[in-house]
Amino acid sequence: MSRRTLAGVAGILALMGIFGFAVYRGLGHFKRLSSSAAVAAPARPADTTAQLALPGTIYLSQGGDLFALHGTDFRAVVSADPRGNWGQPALLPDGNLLVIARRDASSDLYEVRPDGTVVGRLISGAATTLPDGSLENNHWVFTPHAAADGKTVWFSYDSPKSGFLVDLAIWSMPLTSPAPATSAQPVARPQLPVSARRWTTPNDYTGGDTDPVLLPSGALLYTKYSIDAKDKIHSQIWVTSSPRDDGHALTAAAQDCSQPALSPDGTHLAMVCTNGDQVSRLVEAPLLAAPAGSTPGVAPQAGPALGAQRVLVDGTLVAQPVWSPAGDGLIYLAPAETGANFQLWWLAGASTSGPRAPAQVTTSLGFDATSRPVWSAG
Amino acid sequence: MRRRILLSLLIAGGFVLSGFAGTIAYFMPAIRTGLSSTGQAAGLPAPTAAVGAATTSVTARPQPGSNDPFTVLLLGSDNDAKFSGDHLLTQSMILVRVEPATKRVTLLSIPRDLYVPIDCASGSQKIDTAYSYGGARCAVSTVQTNFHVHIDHYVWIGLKGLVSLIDQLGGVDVVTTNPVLDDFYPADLAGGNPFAYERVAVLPGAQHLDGLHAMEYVRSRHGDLREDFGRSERQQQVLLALRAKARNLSVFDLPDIAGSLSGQLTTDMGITQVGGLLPLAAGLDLKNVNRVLLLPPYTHGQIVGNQDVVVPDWNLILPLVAQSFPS
Repeated sequence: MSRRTLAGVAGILALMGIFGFAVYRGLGHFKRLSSSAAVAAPARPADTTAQLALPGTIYLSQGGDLFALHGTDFRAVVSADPRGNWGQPALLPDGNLLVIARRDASSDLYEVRPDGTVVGRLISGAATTLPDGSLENNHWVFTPHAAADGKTVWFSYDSPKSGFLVDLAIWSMPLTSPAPATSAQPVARPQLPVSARRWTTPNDYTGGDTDPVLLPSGALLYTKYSIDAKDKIHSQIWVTSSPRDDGHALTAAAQDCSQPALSPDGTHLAMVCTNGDQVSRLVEAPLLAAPAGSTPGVAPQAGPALGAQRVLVDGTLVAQPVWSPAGDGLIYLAPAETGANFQLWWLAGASTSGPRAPAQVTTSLGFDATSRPVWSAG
Repeated sequence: MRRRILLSLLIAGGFVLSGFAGTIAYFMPAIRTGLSSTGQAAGLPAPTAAVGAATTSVTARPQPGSNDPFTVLLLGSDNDAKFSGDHLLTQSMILVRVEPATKRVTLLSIPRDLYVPIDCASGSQKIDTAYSYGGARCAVSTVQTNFHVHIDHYVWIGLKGLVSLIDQLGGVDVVTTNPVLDDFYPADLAGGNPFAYERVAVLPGAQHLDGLHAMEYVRSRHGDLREDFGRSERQQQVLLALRAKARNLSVFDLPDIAGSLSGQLTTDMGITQVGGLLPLAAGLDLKNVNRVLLLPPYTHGQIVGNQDVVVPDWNLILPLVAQSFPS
């Protein structure tokens, strides 16, 4: 066999090898093109722009970082660090934010400036580990909400608790000068300030009460969880006017509503209801000062009540509605398709008789759907 | 001329073989897992007819992929370092009946503490021990004998396998019904001490859960008044969320999924049968899913010896099973 023939055979064999390798790589490439089983990793908000410019500034959490959306541009406010993953922002009247920093076994409440400067820590849940390895002295603080005058903060906190009984209750405390902004040093038994007051008594072993929202009247809206006689778990929007008085339900147990959001003028309530399904709906209703008794399954009570309810968005996974500062629409989080990441959506005219179709504000991000955004006019 | 044709055929054949080798290499993880995990000769007990005729043999098992209804027993085990590999309990037992023609599915969660006679052991014990005595065969026969139900196939998955599967699918979307808080959640998937605890807080509402957090949601039970029943309900939610993911799966995903499940999943179904389930799962509508929990009055808690157990009321359960799982 001539040298030329040998070279030809070697070349063909090499081409065959390359072809086999190309088939291997091509199948992998085809998988990426054809399959959407694995959700694409979300882009970093600061590296993208929104599709739609909304007025003011919206603060949202993704992957433990807090971002601000102003116009169509995102900027990082504060990023995950040893203090924890940052989320669940709430707005103070001076423009500062209350933000939760969550670690594996506890969470803290911090005050943060819009530029990301951490002013200080208001609540620490970090406890030292017990000799038997137990972490039960740690505490969770979630869903903060500030009064309009900025003097009081409401939040859900897992106290009192004992052994396996760990439920969140709604607490309030005066906003005072926060502790230094460094990481919380664990103590034997972290406690709330003595000025803190517990507002609600959660139903045992339900997870408790969450999402405090203050009404202009001083009454408090919140989500209460319960288990009925058939062992079915329910969530309802409740309202109470004084500490330790749970108040009364505004929604029926069968509706399974949660995450109340009050319009800026205090006249409309948005919420998420599931009716026991694995689909969540965005529901809106006028908030009436006097009892209306118009909600089936809810007995008339003294105090606020809900008017006729309307489903604004259905057939998807809606989370965390927030009214615009002008009260002319709602933002919320939802995936664009089954299994996709949660994006930001805008629904104009939410309190009017004819809301428009929702508009998708972001397409490639992956917001934390358990962290309610906050929307500042400035 | 003939020599040239032969040479061309030889070269073409070489390229075909090369391409075939590339294809085999790509699907090798799936092939390896398929061979090691599926088609397990568990020696399942002969299928039996329903109520009152527990010993009547039925000749053929319906095959997933055909239009015949079939029943699968899903088994989930804590298989961390606390347990030896051949003596695992089944913390989760879900009986699934699929009716391909009508696209109806029934899920029945069996309480792990259900106090029943175990087929391969003496006397009554918690049903989650059956797997530890005799593997899938014993778990299946115990369910068949006690529930008078015909089981065609089983699937067993370990803790790490479920976490890996969910991660490989990109997580699951779940509407968590309430805050799930647990100060004594077992920290046995990572770290050196399988008896250690960690704190868990899964917040309520629609959200995207990765494998680890989905596992926390379905496994935690200390903070739920309904204890194991609450956990069973959450397991059904995540199972249905996984089904939704099947809509987006293609054959090209199999190597990655198979790689993530290595040693963490076994089933008596063949790989072609498993593949046949994908389009079926994708076509299911949540409205056609019947979820059953054996809450009181079907069961009640009782202390037997020094154990908290769940005692069945067969007079109520068997008619329910006969209706939901007809032979």
